[in-house]
Amino acid sequence: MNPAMLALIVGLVEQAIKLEPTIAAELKAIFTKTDPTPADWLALRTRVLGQSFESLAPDAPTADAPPV
Amino acid sequence: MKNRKYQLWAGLILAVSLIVLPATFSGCGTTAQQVAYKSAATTSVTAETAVRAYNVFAAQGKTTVLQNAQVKAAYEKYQAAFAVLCDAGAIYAAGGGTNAPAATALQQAVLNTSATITDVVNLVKTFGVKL
Repeated sequence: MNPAMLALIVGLVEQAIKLEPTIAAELKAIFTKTDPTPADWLALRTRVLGQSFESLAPDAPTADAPPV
Repeated sequence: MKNRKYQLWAGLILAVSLIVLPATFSGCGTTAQQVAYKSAATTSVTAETAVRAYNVFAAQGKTTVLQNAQVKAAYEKYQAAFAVLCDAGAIYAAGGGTNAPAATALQQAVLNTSATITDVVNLVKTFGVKL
């Protein structure tokens, strides 16, 4: 991953924290955690898979989206 | 001020972790677990923010259905890679961080996920979204 992409990622994280203050608390909890357990990994998996494209981008209809 | 300080701190850790992650797997397993987990959690926020930014762009009528489908496909590819990453992380954690094959699998999963998140961000940017 090149430096420009890293800088972009850092910027996106900052943007996310500004838009969603709860993200800061979530990240703080993650960054203060010691050794992650299998349950921690599975919780992270569940959280990410629960964020569908449709839920994150409701104004971006795709061809396979059901008609409204 | 405190929030800004935290943002910088989190960003710095992310950048460092992404750079040093591949090297850490050959060393202390506990450190590798923590770095991998924190990196994964932070990059998940990145991907979601990129798609949310794309949605703002779409709400302004600046995208096509084809572009939306492409971003959706890239995001779902990232999700699939992330699921594999979490599964590898869970297996590695279950072994107490001493299982070398699990460490290798986790390292590969991190690299794969990193590639897919790069694809999502680059795709969104090519459509004109300012990130």
